[in-house]
Amino acid sequence: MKSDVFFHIAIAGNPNVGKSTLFNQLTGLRQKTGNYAGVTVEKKQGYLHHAGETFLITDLPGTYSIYPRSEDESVVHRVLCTNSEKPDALMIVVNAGNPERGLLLATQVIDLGIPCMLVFNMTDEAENQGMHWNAEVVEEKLGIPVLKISARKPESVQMLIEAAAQKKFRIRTEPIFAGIQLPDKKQQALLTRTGTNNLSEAFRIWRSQGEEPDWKTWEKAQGLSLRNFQKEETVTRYRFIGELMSAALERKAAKVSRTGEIMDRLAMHPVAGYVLFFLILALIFQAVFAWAEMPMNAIDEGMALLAEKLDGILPEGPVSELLTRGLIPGVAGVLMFIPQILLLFLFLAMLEDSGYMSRVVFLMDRWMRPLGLHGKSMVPLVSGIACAIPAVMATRPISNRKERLITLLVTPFMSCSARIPVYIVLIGLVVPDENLGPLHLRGLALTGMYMLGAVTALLAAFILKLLMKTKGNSFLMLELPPYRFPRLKDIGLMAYTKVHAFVTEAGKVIVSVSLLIWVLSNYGPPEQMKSLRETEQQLLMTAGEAEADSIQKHFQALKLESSYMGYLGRGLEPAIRPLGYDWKLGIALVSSFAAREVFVSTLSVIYAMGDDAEPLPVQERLRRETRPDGSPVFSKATALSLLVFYAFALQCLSTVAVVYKETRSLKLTILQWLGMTTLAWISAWAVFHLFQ
Amino acid sequence: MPTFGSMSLELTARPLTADVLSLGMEVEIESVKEGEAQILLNERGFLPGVRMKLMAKAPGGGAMAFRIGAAVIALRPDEAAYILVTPV
Repeated sequence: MKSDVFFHIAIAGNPNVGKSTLFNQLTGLRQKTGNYAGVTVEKKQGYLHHAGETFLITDLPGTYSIYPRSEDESVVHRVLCTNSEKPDALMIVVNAGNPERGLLLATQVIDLGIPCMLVFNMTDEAENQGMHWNAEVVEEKLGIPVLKISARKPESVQMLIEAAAQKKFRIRTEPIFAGIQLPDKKQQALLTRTGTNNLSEAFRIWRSQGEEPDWKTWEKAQGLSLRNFQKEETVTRYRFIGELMSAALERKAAKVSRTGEIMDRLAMHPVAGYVLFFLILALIFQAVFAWAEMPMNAIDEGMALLAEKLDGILPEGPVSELLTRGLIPGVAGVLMFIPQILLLFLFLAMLEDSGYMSRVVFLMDRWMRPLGLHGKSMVPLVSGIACAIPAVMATRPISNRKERLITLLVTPFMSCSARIPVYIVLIGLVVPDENLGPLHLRGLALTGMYMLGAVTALLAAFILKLLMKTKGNSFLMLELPPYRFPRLKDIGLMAYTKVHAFVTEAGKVIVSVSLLIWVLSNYGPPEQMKSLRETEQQLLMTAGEAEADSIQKHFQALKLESSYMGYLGRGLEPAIRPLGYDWKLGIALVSSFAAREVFVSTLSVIYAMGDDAEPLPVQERLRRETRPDGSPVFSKATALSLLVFYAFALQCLSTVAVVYKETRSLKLTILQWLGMTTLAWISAWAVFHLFQ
Repeated sequence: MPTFGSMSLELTARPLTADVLSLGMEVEIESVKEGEAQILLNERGFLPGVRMKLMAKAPGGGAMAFRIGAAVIALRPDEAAYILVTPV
C-alpha cells in the first residue's frame, strides 16, 4: 500500500527462503496486522527505524511467480503491479543454496521496473555446501545491487538495514525478457488491447489476465497462444539464470549433510511416516492438556477472587452486579483459553517452521483428494483443533477454489479448544470416573469426541465434493524444504500474534455476549420484575438469617424465569423439546450461539439455585437438577445429545465472520451455519431417542 | 542398455514419463508435455536438460518427491506424467 509518509520497502521471495525471519529481524515487535483491501490475505507490515528515518516494511506472501494462481499470489501481483499500492523499493530474497526458483521470481520482479535489491539469504549454509556466489558478477548481470546475508545472524541483518537505509535499490535498464517475437500487426493488436505503448508492459498484462474468457476469445481471433508465450518466457528466464549461475556461482566439493535425507526416510516412509505423524499429534494433545490445566485453573480462580473482592468493595447495586457477574466472568472466559491456544499455536508453528508439515502434506495428499480436499488441507484441519478462526485463514495457499472452499467449510467440525470446557462438564456428568484397563474412561470419551469431529469433517468434505460443481485443475507441486531447527523468537512471535488476535477479535465477541446475557437475564418486563422483587423483600423481612440465603436463591431463579432471557428460552422450547432439553438449557444454547464456551458459565448462572446451603461445583449442581416429575434433567440421554449437539453446531460468531471474510459469499456462510446446525439438531435428536 | 526393475526393454527405448520411475532412479528431463501443468512445472525448474532423482513415494499412488538441484519437490503422479525423461 502506498504510504506518502514513509519510504515503503516490500520483501518478495519464494516460500521457505527465510523471508519471515528477515521481516521479524527488521521490524521486531513493531508489526501491525491487517488485510489487503478487497482480499483477505493477511498483510504483514511493520516499521524499521534507522538513523532518524522510518521505513514501512511489507512482507509479501511467498510465491514462485508473480502471475497469480492462488489468493496469496494474486496479492503479490496486485501489490507490485498496481500503481496505488506499489512499494517504493523491493528486497528480493533468494536462498543462496537453492537459487533457481528464487532467481526466476527475481527476474520477473526486476522486469517490473521497481527499484530492487537482491538478497542472497542462508549464505552460510550455501558455503557449507560448497556454493560460493560472486556478488559483483551477479550485480553486473542483474543490474541491481546484491547483498549476501544469513538472516539468523545479527551482523548480517545490520548490514541489510544499512543498505536499505541508504536506499541501495536500483532499476535495471533493459528487461531480461522483453516479450516474444510477434509480427508487427499482432504486436500492434496487443498494444491496442492493453492500452499501452510499452511492449513488455503489454506482455505482462496479457500474461496476468490471459486466463479470462474475453482474452481467450481475443487470442483465438489473433491466432496467438498464451501458453506458448508463457513457456517461452520461462525458458528464456531460466536460460538467463543458467548463464548467471555458471558465471557467478563457484561450486566446490563439500561434505553434504545427509541428516535431512535420513530424517525423510522416516518422516516420508509409507508406514512409519504415518505412525510418526499420529504420534506427534498425540504428543501435542497430551502436552497441551497436561500443561494448560494449571494456568487455566489459576486464571479461573484468580478472576473469581477478583470478582469476590470487587463485590466486597463496591456498593451493592447494578454496577457491582454488572462487573462481578457480567464483565469479569466474560473476561475470564477469554483469558482462560490463552494457555491452551498459546501452547497449540507454539506446537503448530514448530511443525510448520521445522519443515515437517510439508511432509505431512506429501503423505496425506493421496488420502485427502478422494474426499474433495487437498494435501494442503491438512494444515487447516490440524490447526482446527486449536481454533477454527486461524484455521480458516490457513486455507489460502490452496489454489483450487473448490478444494479451498470445502476445506474452509468443514474445518469448524474439528474439535476446537472452545469445546473442551463443554465436553469436560458433560462427560463428567455421564461417564464414570473409572479406568478401563490402563485407560481412563473420561479421557477416552474426550478422545472419542475429537475423533467424532475429525470423521465428520472428512465425511462432510466428501458430501460437499459430490454437491459442488466448480471445476478447475488442482496441483500439488510442493517444495519440501530442508529441516530447520525452528527459531524460538519466530515461533514465539507468531504465537504471540495469534493469541493477541484471539484476545482482541474473539475476546470482543465473548465479552459483549457475556454482557448481553447478563443484561437479558437480569431485566424483564418491568412490572413483573418489580412485583417479584417486592415479594422477595417481604419474605426476607420476616425470614431468619438461615432462610434468607435460600429465599434469595429461589428468587434469583424466579427472576431469571421472568427475564427477557427466560422468555427467549421459552420461545425456543418447542424447537428443543424433541431433544429432551428444557427452557433453561434453551437459554444456555441461545447464549452459546455466539461462542460455545459461554455454555458452561451460563449453565452455572442459570442453575445457581435450589435449596443448597453451600455453593456447589457446576457438575454437582447440574447432576442434582430435576424436572417437575423428579427425573434428573441431565440424564444420560440429555447429556449425550448435548455433547453431539456441541460437536456439530457452528456456535461461534467469530468463525462465521471469518468464513464470510474469506469466501466473500453470504450464501456459503449461511449455508455452512444452517448445515452444521441442522446436522447438530438431527443428531442430537437421534442420540436422545436412542439412549432414552 | 540397462534394465530397470521389471520394465521391458521396449519401454525403456521410448522416453519414460517420470511417474513410472522407481525409487532412487536418476534421470534427465527430455521435455515437458504441453498442458496446464507444463508452465507450473517449468516455473519450478522442471526444464529440458535438468537432472532429477526420485527420493520418496507416498503409498497408494500418492505423491512422489523428486530431488531437482538443491530442492526436493513433491508431485502427484499425474503431474509427474507430464515430464518425459531418459535414465542417466
